[in-house]
Amino acid sequence: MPLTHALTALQHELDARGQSPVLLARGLTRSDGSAAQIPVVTNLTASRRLTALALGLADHRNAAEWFAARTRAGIEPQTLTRHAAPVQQIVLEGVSADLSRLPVLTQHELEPGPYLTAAHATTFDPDSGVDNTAIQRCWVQGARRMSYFPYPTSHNARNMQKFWARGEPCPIAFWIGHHPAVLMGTQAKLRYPQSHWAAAGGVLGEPLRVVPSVTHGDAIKVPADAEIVIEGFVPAHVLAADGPFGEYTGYLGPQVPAPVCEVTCITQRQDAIYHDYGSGLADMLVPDNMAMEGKLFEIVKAVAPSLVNVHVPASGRRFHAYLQFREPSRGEARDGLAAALAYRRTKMVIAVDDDVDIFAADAMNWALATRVQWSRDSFVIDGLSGSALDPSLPAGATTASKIAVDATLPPARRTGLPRAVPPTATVPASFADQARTLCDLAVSREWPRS
Amino acid sequence: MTPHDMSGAIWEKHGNTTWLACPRCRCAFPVSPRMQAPEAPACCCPGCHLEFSPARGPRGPTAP
Repeated sequence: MPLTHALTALQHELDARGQSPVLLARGLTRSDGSAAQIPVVTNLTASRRLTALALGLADHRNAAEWFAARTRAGIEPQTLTRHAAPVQQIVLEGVSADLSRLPVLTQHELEPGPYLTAAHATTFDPDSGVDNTAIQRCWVQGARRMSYFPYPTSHNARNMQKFWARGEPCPIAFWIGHHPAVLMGTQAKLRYPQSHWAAAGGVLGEPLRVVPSVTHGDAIKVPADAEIVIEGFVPAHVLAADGPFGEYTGYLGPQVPAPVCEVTCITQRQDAIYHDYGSGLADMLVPDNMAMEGKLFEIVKAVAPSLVNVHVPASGRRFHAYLQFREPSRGEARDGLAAALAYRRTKMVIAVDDDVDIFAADAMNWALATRVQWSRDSFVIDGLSGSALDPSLPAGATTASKIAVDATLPPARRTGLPRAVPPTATVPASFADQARTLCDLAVSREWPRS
Repeated sequence: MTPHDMSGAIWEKHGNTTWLACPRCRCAFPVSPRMQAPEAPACCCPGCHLEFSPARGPRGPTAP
């Protein structure tokens, strides 16, 4: 199987089938016919259920509050010496630091070459010394050169610009491959400047083990248990073309000017596995959206205490969010909706009651169909921060138009009274249990499913 | 704007993507408006990796 397109095609097919196995591929072939020595794992986080289990969460539907609490509490990292760090079992510097060693995939048509998609870029703020980490793509262009695209408003871009303003190159390290809890913990949406190591430890449930990088020493530490680390510098004001590249929207982002990284060192485990995210596929959407749920839970809970859960469905990319409330007081659901719209990534937010399963599309549609009068229960706000990658934005727009929908039921007029709405059509619980048992035993696989 | 010229109407969709074609291999690809700024680096064809100025590449459907 080649490094180009094949694994990604498999991920597309699996996504279309609603199947989410982890994929491990050995001996992938390069364009010259040689076999890559390092295996590739991908689709690691395509399943919400598996990802939640990896975090120690029995039910993926409880991710929002759990993630918010774990990242807020945090656990400080533990620093190892270099000889104790698995990721520095092999150290390759100078001409030996050759990116062609790595089995980097070319995923989609119209992408110009192989991209690191699971590279966690770590930089630091030169004013405070505080580090920052984010997943940011790199196009491998040569043995020791790659483009590096930090989103212009990202904290890493801010760090980089500070170095550039001083006329200095920005020190950087990219680490690849770790426990899913660490991958997700480092995606926690934090303030600036704020290190992601404690949040990662919080999600992991133990201190994240870090080690000084070979090139940058204590200024940039990297996870000691990562699989691979690429170290280097981003020279000041040097830009090159980057992209097109498959984005989380499911479309290709356009070619953009991007900084470049000059590689100084590669370190890795003896038995390293290269981690790839299927860009724009469930593999990438699931963990990022679960981290978003944690952030939205914090934002909304602060103004709407009756919030009980949040779901950011992969089908809505990062643009849709569902908020679930338990007996919100008058105005509270709309307060929560307004707060959620202020988060840059959201574009449509829907509020429902806790009798609606926010993880079931049919249930959400039922609430929208039966609990909403559009002119009364929806509001549009223009001019909020949004994603430049939204294909529906007008040309040149720098802000987005967003909508909130209150699909909650009206509150009761007085405590103890029923709400002034019709009851839902149900059957007695004993009969429901009996029917469930009967179906489990007797329903044929041949019966139509829809 | 005349009644027959509704291209600026806010209810009409126009898209937001500019396409360029490689002057050598004709591969067409989307580019950000920032690639057309004077200080921008050369475009790079994703097909043949030719570097070229956006002014040299034939344009496809272009956002207004």
